Amino acid sequence: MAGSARYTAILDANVLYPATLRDLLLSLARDGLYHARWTERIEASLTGLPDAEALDLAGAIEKLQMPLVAARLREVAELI
Amino acid sequence: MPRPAETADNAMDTVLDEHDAALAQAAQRCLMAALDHSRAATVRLVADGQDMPSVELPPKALRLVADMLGMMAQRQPVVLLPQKMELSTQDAAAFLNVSRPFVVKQIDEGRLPCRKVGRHRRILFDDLLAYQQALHEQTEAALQALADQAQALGLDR
Repeated sequence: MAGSARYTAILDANVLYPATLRDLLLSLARDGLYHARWTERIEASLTGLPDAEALDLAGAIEKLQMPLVAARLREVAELI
Repeated sequence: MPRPAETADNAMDTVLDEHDAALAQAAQRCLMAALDHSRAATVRLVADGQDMPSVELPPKALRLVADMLGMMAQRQPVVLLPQKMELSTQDAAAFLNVSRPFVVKQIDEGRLPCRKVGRHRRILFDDLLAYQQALHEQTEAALQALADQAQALGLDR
């Protein structure tokens, strides 16, 4: 986020897919180590996976939105 | 409660070196022990052999001093803000570690109360802390929901 002193990191589908890693990375963001962001495209690539429904990836991403901690961007360009 | 400093402007340097941090920690422990035993406490300062009169402090004040010593013992920068102090949107942004437009958006959408002084928005530090606490609880709930979901799906291994 512009004007913020904290690091911002983009979480891509590779780290959002495994539940354990997702939990860990979001916990670190909660503890203030960095701002977590992902894009609509990353989200679409997750929810488009063959096992997306079985793993309820859409439901998981819905829960990821945490004000000040984690948020979805329309595109990476929003950060620049 | 003293909090870790988020803004550097007009703040005094409160970071101790290792030796002073150890002193602060020892002092904090003594104060906490004293507070456990008695309701009111007296503090005696000794300055180079000179005998100074004892100073009597209310327990509330001692607790605050002890908290502050505890933070300083961890060698964190500390700044003390009155809870009734009003902050600009820029100060609030620095405190939350977000951009100023984000803070303005929170105000405009009614999530963070503010007072208008002319064209400027002023935020009560108390309100800012309450806002931060509410967000923190939301985050905890979201993380818990994520963990619950993973567990329900048997993905938590």
